[in-house]
Amino acid sequence: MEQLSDLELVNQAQKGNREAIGALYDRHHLRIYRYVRSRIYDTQLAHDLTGEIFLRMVRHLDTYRPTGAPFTAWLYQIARNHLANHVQKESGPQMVALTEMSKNGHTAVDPAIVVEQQLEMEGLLAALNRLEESQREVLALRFLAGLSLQEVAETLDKSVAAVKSIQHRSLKTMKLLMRSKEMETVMRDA
Amino acid sequence: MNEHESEARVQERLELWEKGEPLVVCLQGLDAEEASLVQTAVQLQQAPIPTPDGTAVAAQRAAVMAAGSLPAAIPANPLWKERLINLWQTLFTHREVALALSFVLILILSFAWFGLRGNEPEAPVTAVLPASDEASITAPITTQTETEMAALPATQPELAAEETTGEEASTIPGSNVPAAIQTAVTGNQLFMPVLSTSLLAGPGQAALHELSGMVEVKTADGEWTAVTANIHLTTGAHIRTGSLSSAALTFYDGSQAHLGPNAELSLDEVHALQPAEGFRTVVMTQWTGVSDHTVQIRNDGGSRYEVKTPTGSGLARGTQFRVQVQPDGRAVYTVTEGKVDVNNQGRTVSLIAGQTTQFAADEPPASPSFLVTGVGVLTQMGDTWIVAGQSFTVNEDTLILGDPQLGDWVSVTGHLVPGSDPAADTIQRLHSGGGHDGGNEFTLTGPVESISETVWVVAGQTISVTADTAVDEGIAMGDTVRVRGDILPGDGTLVAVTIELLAVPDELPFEFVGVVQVQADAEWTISGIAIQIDAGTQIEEGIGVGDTVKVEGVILPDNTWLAREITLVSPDNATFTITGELFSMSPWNVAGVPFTVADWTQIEPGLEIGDLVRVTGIILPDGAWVAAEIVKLDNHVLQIIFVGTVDSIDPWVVNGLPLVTDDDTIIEDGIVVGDLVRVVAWIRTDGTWLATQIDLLDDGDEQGCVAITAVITAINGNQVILANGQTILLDEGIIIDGELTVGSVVLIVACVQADGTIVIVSITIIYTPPPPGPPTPPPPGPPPGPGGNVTICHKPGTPAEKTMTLPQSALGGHLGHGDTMGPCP
Repeated sequence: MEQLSDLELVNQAQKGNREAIGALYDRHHLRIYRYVRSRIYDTQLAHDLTGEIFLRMVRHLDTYRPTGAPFTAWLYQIARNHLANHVQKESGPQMVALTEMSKNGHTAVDPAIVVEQQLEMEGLLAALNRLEESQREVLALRFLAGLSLQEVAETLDKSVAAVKSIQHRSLKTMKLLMRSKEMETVMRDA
Repeated sequence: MNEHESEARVQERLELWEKGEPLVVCLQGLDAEEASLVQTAVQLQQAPIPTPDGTAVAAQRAAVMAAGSLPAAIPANPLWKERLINLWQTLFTHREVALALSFVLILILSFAWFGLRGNEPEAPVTAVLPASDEASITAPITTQTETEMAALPATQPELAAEETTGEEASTIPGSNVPAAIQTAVTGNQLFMPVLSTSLLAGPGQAALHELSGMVEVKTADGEWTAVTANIHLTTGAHIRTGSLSSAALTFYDGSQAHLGPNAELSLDEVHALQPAEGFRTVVMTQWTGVSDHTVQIRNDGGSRYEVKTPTGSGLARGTQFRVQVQPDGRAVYTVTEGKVDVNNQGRTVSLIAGQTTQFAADEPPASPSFLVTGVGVLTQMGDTWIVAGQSFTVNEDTLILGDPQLGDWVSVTGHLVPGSDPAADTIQRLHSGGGHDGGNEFTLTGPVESISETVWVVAGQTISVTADTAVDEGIAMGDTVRVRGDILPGDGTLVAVTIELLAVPDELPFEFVGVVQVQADAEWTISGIAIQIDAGTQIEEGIGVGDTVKVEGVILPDNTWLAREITLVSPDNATFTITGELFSMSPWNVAGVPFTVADWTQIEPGLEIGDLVRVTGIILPDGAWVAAEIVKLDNHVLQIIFVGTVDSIDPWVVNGLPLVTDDDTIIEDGIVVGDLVRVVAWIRTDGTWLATQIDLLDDGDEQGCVAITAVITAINGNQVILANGQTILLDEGIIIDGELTVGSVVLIVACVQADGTIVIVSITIIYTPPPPGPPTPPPPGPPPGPGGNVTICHKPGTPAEKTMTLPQSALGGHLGHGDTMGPCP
């Protein structure tokens, strides 16, 4: 299964092969999760939303037709839609608990390092979510979900050139946002 | 430096990084600005985002895989549908081919398999339906406490795919709802991938929990069975508690009912959607005992929380209230917060906080009176009882529990009677003796009649107020208050500990979803309702006319609807699909989901309660669900209507297609071999064609017409694509009544001409969705290729067949001469 391409797995899955569905999940769930997690600060909620996205993928799998665009573009369209719907329904600030850092994915045992990593992650995601939507989407899909420029272009229905341009501008903006936060921290600590 | 060159350099270095080059190598030669951009990207890539633990991921993986295990009703080869669609398109674009195929037209009316529709809307969560006929008891969920369960639906680390030991909650056969809810009998193993903040999986369920003492439910065979663990109940469930026992019911929207001792209650209807999802309908009958209800506030014009008794009923609008059914059948309704309308014998009384009413079967509800309660030592009995120094009249309607004796500690619940001592409705012995460290206490609710520094009069009762009395600010004469305090021993003076101002019941909250029709500074019109806007109204930015919004606010005493908040909601659930058991047809209810039908709703004949059906329809701006089609699902796969020539009778063969008939097949009299007939048939899972109807077609220009209802999912130039996959090519001859838009529900009439050709005669727009709101992410579907190109199969089925990629602008022409979407098989 690991050797098969996405399209081959989809074809198998459309014929009812559960293992192919499992393989698709294995291949994409972490990236989908990271993409979701960039908007949803709660790990458990992000995990649940990830599950919902894959369930929608399964439900709609037999409507997928390989028309030239990669499967990831189709999958991430599902993810974008679902996440956008969720975000639209929810309101109010999201709270991030320091205890998040005690879950899997963190190897640091020193609490100070854990806190530092937490703050770094918070700063990154906060800056990311202050970007304009298309900029945020490009960066989240490119660097958190790890999609290629082509895949991002297909997902967002833009040209590769447009994605490159947005990526460049958004990195500059993000850098500014993060730098301004560093200044705030310095001034507070001064 | 040229920005474009800088961008290219940064991109090049990012690609190097993604190929695995060390960062220091990737940064070489970049200026500080460019280097910082690459580092920012790397920081994002390496962001220390915490991940769920492996067991949770494994459990989720198992659930996703299980969702892919759809029942055998789904043909393993999806090309069935493609072949039929191709044939349909071919016949509509090549009339000559249609003739050559001897007048065979396959008109696909509906698909009875699952998940094939593109852009299918989110089906409502259909509760798991067990096989039992009436009271539905699903597998026990967990033995966790309510607090723990309320913290769900986080995945439980203990659950692994192979470790599920309990009954796997199966989906309804053929349901679209994935089998993603698994329960385990042992341990705290509950996995709910569908996010829920309640104890429950869906609006059709009620959680029975907080079990204390003897709690029983009635099973399908009519036997009472003791319940020892929290369980889910659905419509039809019957619950009772024993002496000194209690239990709680929690509904999906958060409303709760607590059953006291010796109470019996049945769930008549349970469909408690949350505010964002739709109406809440909870109807129950209380046969005996006492129950306390906390009802989530809803004033959306459709939600209902009703507690019936053998004598009457009370309809709550978001409140806390108590219902007591006494042994003689008298019902007592008491409201502690909010408002309840109580009805019997054609009379309705409205109770506000602190009021109570009671009645027998043949009586209308008594006029509301304010409640008074007290706890204290019983010092006198007879026509007048004295509890904690307070006199209460007692009559034949007073319920006396526990055989209290003089000197016993009792609680009394009664109501105020103008010009007389309060009347006791219930006196219950708490314990013997008069020793009680807490002193005698009272609670009194009623209007404030006078206020002074040391004495208030509330509902005719004189209340002493001290410096320690906590009094809500702003209480004025006439306000309704709740007074709690102590009864001084000896003279029975009431000393207030707290005086609480109760909410004005007329300012009721409301909430609904609708479409913005008019926007002005101080007033909007949303789905026909005039909504006032003031400085305190919070309005989400970017809302314009035509947007679908959620409005929350209060209805003021002058009936003005004042909005507190207006937010955008996604309009993507304009259509719905339900698959499940047909519960009722008057009103319509499938799998616990109520909906209505219209004149244009296509309902398969012969439906019976208990049938497995599939309902598709639309959701109107006012939130109403209207079915467009209701079909029965058994082992059906496709329903087909076609016209052809009879080749043989018994066995029936039409246009070379063998048909199976059974006792239910309706065959018009007088058909002979060679006649032109119209056949309605189901293609079953075994591939046979079961004819349900065979009609003789008359001679004439129109050999017969069929009408189908469908939802438009896409419009590409002169092509209209329907939700069932059909594509209709529009030409000048088609009468179009209304404006075709995506999301429209249309009635399509197609007729067979004398020459056997099929023509679309008319398309009538039955329903038009509201104008589109702000851009939403496109629904999943086959995206175009790079640069907006599409892939087609050119000249399928011919020696010239080949897969081509071409611009979308050229698509229409190719489809016009028989090419098909997607690559060639």
